[in-house]
Amino acid sequence: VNTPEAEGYLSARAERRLATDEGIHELGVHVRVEGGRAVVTGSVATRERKRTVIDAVRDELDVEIVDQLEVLGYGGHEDDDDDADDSRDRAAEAEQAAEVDG
Amino acid sequence: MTMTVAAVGDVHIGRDSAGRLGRHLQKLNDEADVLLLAGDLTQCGTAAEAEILADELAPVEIPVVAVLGNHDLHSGQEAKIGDILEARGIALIENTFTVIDVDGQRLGIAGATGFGGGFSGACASDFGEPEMKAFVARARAAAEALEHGLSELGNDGVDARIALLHYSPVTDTLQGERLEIYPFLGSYLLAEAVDRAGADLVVHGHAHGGIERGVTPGGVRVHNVALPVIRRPYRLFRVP
Repeated sequence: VNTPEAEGYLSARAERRLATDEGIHELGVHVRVEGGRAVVTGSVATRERKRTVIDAVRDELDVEIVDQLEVLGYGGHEDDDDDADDSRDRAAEAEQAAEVDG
Repeated sequence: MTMTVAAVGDVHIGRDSAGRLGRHLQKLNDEADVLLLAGDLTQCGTAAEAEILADELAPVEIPVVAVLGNHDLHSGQEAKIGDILEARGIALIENTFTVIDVDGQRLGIAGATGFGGGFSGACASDFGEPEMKAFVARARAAAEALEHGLSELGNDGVDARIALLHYSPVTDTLQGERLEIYPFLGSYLLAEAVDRAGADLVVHGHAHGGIERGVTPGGVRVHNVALPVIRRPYRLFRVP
């Protein structure tokens, strides 16, 4: 049944699985099902978690996935393990130094 | 003289996090006097994840003070998590408070996970089903503990007071989140507690889709330091 209501149920079902599945527990990920596609948005900490989330949504809904999920890393951006990360770290630190609140 | 506080929330340490957080904290000892962790320290709330977090924080030599978040409570291992962190010198201040000496100045921190319940005009009431009453009671107990802690710190004459929370006390820092989930993101009772007792700064996490800055109705500055919001390893603040 391809009605907005049914798609709402699918969204809720996918988000419930992401929140409660053992080893996932991602509450900051949003799944919006519309037009027979599932758009996955939000952020997770690692690439491994992104794969786990996308796999779980695909398994739960069996529809086309539009993957807009961001990998944040612990420096606040993707490519947590890349060399490029260090230059972004320095840029972020410089920005932070200029932004100390108080 | 001001003190510099670093804060971050929602690091969500999991089995895949080993070696990934600590590398971003190497300069912290030179930049701040204390590190505050605003809950959701772990992804699934397990003792094993707490061990990984403690390892990641090993290079941090400044005092570390934390509250738990809802993720940390999921597996019912919060006592073990607390023991692991305490054994590594990380102070867990759940519904209590602590004072840290910073070069002769005294920084007071009152901490609580807090809870949901909503905000003025759209909040849960202590009425009806026992489950609803229990929901409201949890938020109220956290707010009362926060107010008590901040009041005690005020009576003690500390140089600055910080409220460390996981849930948000205001809607300001929730902007960007879906309005429908605001009641699960925080409670006005926390802001009321802060305004009654007084504080120099409130930091919280939990609202990944929110924004950084807000203020309580009484004028106390509020910062959402959830990692997905600040998008950096920590945020620095000067107090008082």
